[in-house]
Amino acid sequence: MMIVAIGVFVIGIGFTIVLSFTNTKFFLINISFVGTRQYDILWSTARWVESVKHIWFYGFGHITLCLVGGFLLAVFMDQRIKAEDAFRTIFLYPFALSAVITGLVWQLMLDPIWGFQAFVRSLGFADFSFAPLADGNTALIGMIVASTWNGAGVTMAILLAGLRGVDEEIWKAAKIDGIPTWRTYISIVIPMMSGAIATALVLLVVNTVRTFDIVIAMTGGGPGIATQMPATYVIDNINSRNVGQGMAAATCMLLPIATLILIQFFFRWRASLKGRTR
Amino acid sequence: MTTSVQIKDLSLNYGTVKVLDRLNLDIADGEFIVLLGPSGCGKSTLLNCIAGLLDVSEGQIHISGKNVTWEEPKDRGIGMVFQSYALYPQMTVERNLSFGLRVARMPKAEIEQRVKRAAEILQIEPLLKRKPVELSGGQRQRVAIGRALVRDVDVFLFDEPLSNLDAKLRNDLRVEIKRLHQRLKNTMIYVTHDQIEAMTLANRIAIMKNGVIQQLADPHTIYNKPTNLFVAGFIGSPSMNFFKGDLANGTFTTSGTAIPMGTYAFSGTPSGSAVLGIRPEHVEVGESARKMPFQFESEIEIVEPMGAETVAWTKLADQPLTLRADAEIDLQPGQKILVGFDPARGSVFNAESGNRI
Amino acid sequence: MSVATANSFGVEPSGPKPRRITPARIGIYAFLIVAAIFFLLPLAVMILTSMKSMNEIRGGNIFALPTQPTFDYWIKAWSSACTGVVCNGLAPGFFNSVKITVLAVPISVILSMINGYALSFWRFRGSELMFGLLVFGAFVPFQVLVYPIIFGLSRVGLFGTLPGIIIVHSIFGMPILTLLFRNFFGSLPVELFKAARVDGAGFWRIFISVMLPMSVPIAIVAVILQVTGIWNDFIFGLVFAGRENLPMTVQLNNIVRTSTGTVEYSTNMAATILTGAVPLIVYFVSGKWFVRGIAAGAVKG
Repeated sequence: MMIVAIGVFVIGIGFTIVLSFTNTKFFLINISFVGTRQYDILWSTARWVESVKHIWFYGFGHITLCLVGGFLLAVFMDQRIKAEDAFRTIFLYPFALSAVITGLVWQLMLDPIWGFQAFVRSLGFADFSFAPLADGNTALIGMIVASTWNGAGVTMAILLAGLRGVDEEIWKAAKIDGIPTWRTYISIVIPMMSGAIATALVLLVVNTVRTFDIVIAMTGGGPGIATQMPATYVIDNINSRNVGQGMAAATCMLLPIATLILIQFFFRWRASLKGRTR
Repeated sequence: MTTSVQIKDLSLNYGTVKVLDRLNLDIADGEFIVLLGPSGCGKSTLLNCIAGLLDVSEGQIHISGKNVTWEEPKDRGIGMVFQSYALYPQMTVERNLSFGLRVARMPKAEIEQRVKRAAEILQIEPLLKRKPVELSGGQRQRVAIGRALVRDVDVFLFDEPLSNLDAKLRNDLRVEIKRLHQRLKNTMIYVTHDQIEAMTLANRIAIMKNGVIQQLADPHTIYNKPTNLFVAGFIGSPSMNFFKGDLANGTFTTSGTAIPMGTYAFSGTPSGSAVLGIRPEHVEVGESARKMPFQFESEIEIVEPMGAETVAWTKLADQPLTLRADAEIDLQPGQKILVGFDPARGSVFNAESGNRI
Repeated sequence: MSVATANSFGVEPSGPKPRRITPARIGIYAFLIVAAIFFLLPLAVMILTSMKSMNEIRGGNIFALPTQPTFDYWIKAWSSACTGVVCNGLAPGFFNSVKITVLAVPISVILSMINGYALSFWRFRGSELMFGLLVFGAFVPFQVLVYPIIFGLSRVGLFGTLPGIIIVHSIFGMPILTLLFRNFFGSLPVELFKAARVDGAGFWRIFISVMLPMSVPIAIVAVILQVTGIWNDFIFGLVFAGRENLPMTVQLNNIVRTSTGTVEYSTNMAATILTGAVPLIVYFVSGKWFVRGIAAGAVKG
């Protein structure tokens, strides 16, 4: 069964890459190899180029907020507070909801007429405006907020596990050495958490590249093309019978992942050379 | 004697549980004192209170004449070595040693000097650029001690530093700690559950049980004149032989066998139900048993050759008796042989209170 | 004897250190409570909105409690909302999701368990390489493979069918679940396995009699992860399920998108709650297992 799955992956990728060099419409009738023409078209299409910019911006925002927010939450949760279980349940439940639900709810909340903005205005602040999705420039920010709401809890859970893996005696030693708490976090604890941080980071990156559901649910890609993502570009092209284009785009999506994997292998290979198991 | 560390009426409660119960302890300057006891007796808790890592419920702690009960650990003039050593894993040995000093903004020259001196005393100079993961257990321990050394403190605290090591390493490092104490002459407070460490390292031992100090004395006294049954049974390997019986008119009777106590130094009125304790090494076999005030014929049941000596199991008044004999003496299971001891060298305890009579 | 110190405390220290309620402690709770509110708001909005009439919502106060709470919109979302041309509500989608989940979860979990077991104890030539490739598959964005799979499935006539989407879920679930199981089996003492070999048991015998009973905790975690993942899936359902088998998430999106005139938020929010109900219930019931699942996945590194 494993072989089947691997076969699917490997062959599938190969298929995609090969097709990206063709001008297929949909069902592989009349295909001919057209070299890199699909890629030329790709990179001169505004919608694609914008999508790539968007995913970098969105990805950077989402990942940073999740890591920072997740870390702060983890640190505070680690302080032996009462009702820790209750808090954790609250922080994690968004993860149980699908991206579609996340997108829909936040769309409502960020709506100028029905949502948050109207609420604050009804309290008397007539000039309050908070409707990121309406404006092309800020729509991505609205999406970042929504997806951080979804993902920060999981990040927190991972980082908290890493935090709790730090031996209590290290904290005691630091206290005896007279090292203030914040410094202990920065110089000692965070470096010790590098495994958990790496895991959280990888998870976040992988999820970001796949961003699709939330776009469809929240903005449909708009306003205009303000929230288009590479994933939506691929699907749309396939749906509109422009498979070759879609494949070229998909291949481009593969690159960052492949690079990440290679980097990881490189580090592992180097570590094993030094004879250290880590 | 100048007092280095003084504990006054120290109590620590977790809810209704008394973990430490009105402890009083005076530790002299330069003394090596060991807190010994089984798990849960409160020894580590006491150490953590002295260090300032735990808040006390009642009482005071004085270090070097200063009342430090409310002081932060870093202001108490102490250094501490942990069971897991707790070295900062991402830093080199040098940085481990100097980190605390750098945070305190000490001048660089002084930091270098202190690190150098500590490295020299502990012989870890070649290790300065290495990271903890590259060091052996013994090297790590020395770095942990070094971290305390650079702080130029009066009192060193050790929290079971050898518990994680295998037997051979433990023996080697134990000697190193003793050497260190002889060289530095600092006050050292050492927590362990291992009686051999306690006996070999301590100037005085404080044996603890349930948050109370059972006996505070030098190793020799603790070994030969334990104040109660618990202490007697805890120290000594193989452990002391115990016989339940009755004491009357200077004679101890157990299961029908009468043992005259002879020159035993009783305190208080010696009568009533009691427990007699004899250490295995005070029991003689064969010819040397003839010189003993109390002798009897017995049959050897089990023989355990230890190499340097032989441990044998036999019976006295139908109760088990272990003895230690020279390895040269040939002992066989089933062998009938003369066994004897001097009751005056033993210990008698009140059967109910467990206290020494 | 202690020197009566003229210390900063003003009084001879004894007993526990006096602790004022430090601002730090308050700050911690304040931060956590604010965060909790942030996380709970959308849920509140979902519930509140779904129980108000459109007129009430029009009033603009999204956080107000409904004056006449009603479950009408819930019923509407379930049975009569329009998902495109048909107006049968979410109900068909619900049953489709159930079908898909109930079939795909056991298949993917069991297959992955066998994989993890094989990789852990039966090392063979190239097993590490295979594992590496499998894990690589976990990272590949779906879009890279979507077309080849469409092509492959349509060739065997399974495109747009229930078996088709189950196959897809099984394949895509395999990497992470296999990883989970391999880590778990790797943490078991290998003596267990060796003892069974000595007793003469073979591949399947050992799996069924020895490993399976021991893997209940991790299997629960795997099931929870898969149930959540498959139920919440959108894109696979959209592409592969076929019109008769559209899962609830796709239906939900359709209901929201199909609006003639003004968007009916009450119904939409009701639909959202109904769709999210199942995984939420699973989450609240399983609580700790969920967290354990995440931590288990995090051990990978």
